[in-house]
Parts: sequence; structure tokens; C-alpha cells
Amino acid sequence: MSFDDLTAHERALIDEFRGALGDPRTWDQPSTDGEAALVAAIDAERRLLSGTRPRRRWTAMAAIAVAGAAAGVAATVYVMRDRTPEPEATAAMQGTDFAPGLQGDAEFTTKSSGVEIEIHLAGLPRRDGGEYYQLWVHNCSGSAWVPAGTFHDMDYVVAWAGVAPSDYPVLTVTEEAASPADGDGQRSLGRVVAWGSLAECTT
Amino acid sequence: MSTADPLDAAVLRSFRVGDEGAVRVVYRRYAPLVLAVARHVVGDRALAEEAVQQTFLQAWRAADRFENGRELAPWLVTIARRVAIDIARRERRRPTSPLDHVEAGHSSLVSLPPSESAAWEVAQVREAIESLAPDEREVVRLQHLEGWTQQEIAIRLGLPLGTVKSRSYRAHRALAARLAHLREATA
Repeated sequence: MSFDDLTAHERALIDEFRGALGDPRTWDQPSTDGEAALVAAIDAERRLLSGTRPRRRWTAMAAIAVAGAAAGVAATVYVMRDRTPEPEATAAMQGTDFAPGLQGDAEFTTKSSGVEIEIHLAGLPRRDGGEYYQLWVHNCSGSAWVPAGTFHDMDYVVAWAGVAPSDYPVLTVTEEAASPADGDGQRSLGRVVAWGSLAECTT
Repeated sequence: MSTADPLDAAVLRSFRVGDEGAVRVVYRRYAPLVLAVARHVVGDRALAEEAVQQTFLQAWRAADRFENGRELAPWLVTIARRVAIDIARRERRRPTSPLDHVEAGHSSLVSLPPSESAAWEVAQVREAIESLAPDEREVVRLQHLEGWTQQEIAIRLGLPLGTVKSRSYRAHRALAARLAHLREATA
């Protein structure tokens, strides 16, 4: 039996799909890195959203922040004492399994142009040559992410976000690389290396 | 109708909670077809890989809303197409280059994404290919993608011509059987 022995109906079907069968895009194989990257991304996000993460000193502040948000008031942990705004809330930052032992904090200050996020997160290696860290703020469910800047290192960073911490209480730092195709492209969410949250997000 | 072998319900339940083993099973099972759909939308290989990642992440995030008993493949294809279209739109907003400097297949050259049904068809062809035995799949690949004759395949693979012919016959019969429903549905 050979290809020529197919029925007319079978041959007609094959002919109909000949274009797709001869298209390299149809035959492409997913990269071997993709599976591990997906597992890592889901694991990191699951840790962010789960209630099993370590409770730290900021949980009390987070409770106040969430209560404030519910009342339609910006989260207030530190009361403004003068015209220079003091941080309104502070979130502890910590490394994921990709950066174990990493600890730091992020201070949120609402100013007229947006929310200033001052981060101290020493210990991550510097990223250069088209590689960088990306800071994101997102909501508890992880359904809405807002970029808050890219950086060579995270030792001391001042980032800005145009969204309220009460709506986007989670901070995530990912490793990213500019696309080699065009030199300035950003790939999607990279490996999560650190995170922190103002709110006690639950699944 | 799908040609896919549905995943075990237990795997889907584990996938929902982010169980690593289940995530790997789902990825291995469906990444080829998701990639095929994404590549037909964005063209560029790296962007399609990005779409694959986003598709599975979104699927995981929305897994609670996925109904038991439904097939995963059509749902993933719908997500993949939408994600890839978003990525293609994002890429088109980037600074442009003269056409002379743009490689064929670049995402910016793709004007219209495939329709929902066309994306599904791409996925089904990919699924049909994946369903073949590896040695049969290779013969089909060499025949259609490389354009080799059965005689050339036999020589290059060091196989008797009769073996190549019988593998080609079995493979194409299987493909026709797997893809027939697509035409029956539109007939």
C-alpha cells in the first residue's frame, strides 16, 4: 500500500490541507525552556496568591491599608506630618525560590503625579546588556498587571505607578530581556525573583 | 468536535491548583497546537513562544471557570488566538522600519489574524500530526514540509521504499480520518 492507494475522498482531504501540512509554522516545536518557565511562573504566582506565604510585620499594616481602601480612602499607615509626604504604607519584599533569602521593603507615597514606590532590595545581581529587572504592580487575583519601570539592579529604586496601591497592592519583580529581534521589545512576564504585598490576598 | 484525547479529569483538577506535574502534562499535551495557532497569528517564532506562555498562564488563572467535561483544546485555542492577536497589535505599535529591513514573516507584516474557525483548523491539523506514530510523522514531514519524494525519503532515511510507502499510506489515512470532520462540518 502506498500514498497512491488512498481513496479519492482521502486524497481530496489531504489535498485540502496540503497548505497547512507544508507550512513550517504548523510543524514548529515548543522550546524546551517553555515548560520549565511556565511551571516557574505559575508557582511564583501561586505563592503570591496563596495564604500560605510567611506572615510578616507588614500584615498588620496591610489590614489597615485594605480597610482604608474599602472606605475609599488611600491606605494610611503613617500619618502625614508636614508638607513632605511620608510613606503611606510599607510592604516587605522577599525573594522567590530563584532568589532565596532576599529581603527588602517598598514604601508607597502618593504624590500629585502618581504613586512613588521606593524599593530597597539588595542582593540581586546587576543585569546589563539588554537584560533588566521589571517591576510590576498588580491586583490580588493577578488579572491586572501594570508595569512600573525597568532597572539594572534593585538595590535602591524609585519607581512610579499611575494606579492606586489599594487596587494594585502586590509588587512583583521579574527578570526580563530585550527582544533580540528588534532590540527594544519586551517579552512577556519573565521569571519572578521577588515580591511583596500590601494586602493579604487570598485565593 | 475535537480529535484530541481528553485529559484525565484528575489532571485538570490538579492543573487548577498549579500542581507542577499536572502543569507539565497539560503543557506537553497542548503546547504544540497552541504554538501552531500563535505562529499563524504573529508569524515570529519568539513572539509565538511568548503567546504560548501567556496562553497557559491565562488558562491556569481562569481554570476555575473551566467546566468539567468540556474539552480543553478548543478553550486553549480561543485563548491562544486572542493572546496572539494582542501581542501582534502590541508589536505593530512599535517604531517602524523600512520594509526593506523587515524579514518575511515578521509580525508587523501580518495584516489579518486567522478567524476563530481558521485558528481551530490550524490546531486540528497540528493535533492530527501529533497523533501519528513518530516514524509515520517523520515521513509526512519530509513529504510535505521538505517536499521530498518517497524515493528520496527512502534513500535519506536508509529505509526500503516499500516501508516508506506503507508508512506514508498509514499516516495519510490517519490524517484524513482525523481531519474529515472539519470538512463534514462545513459541507
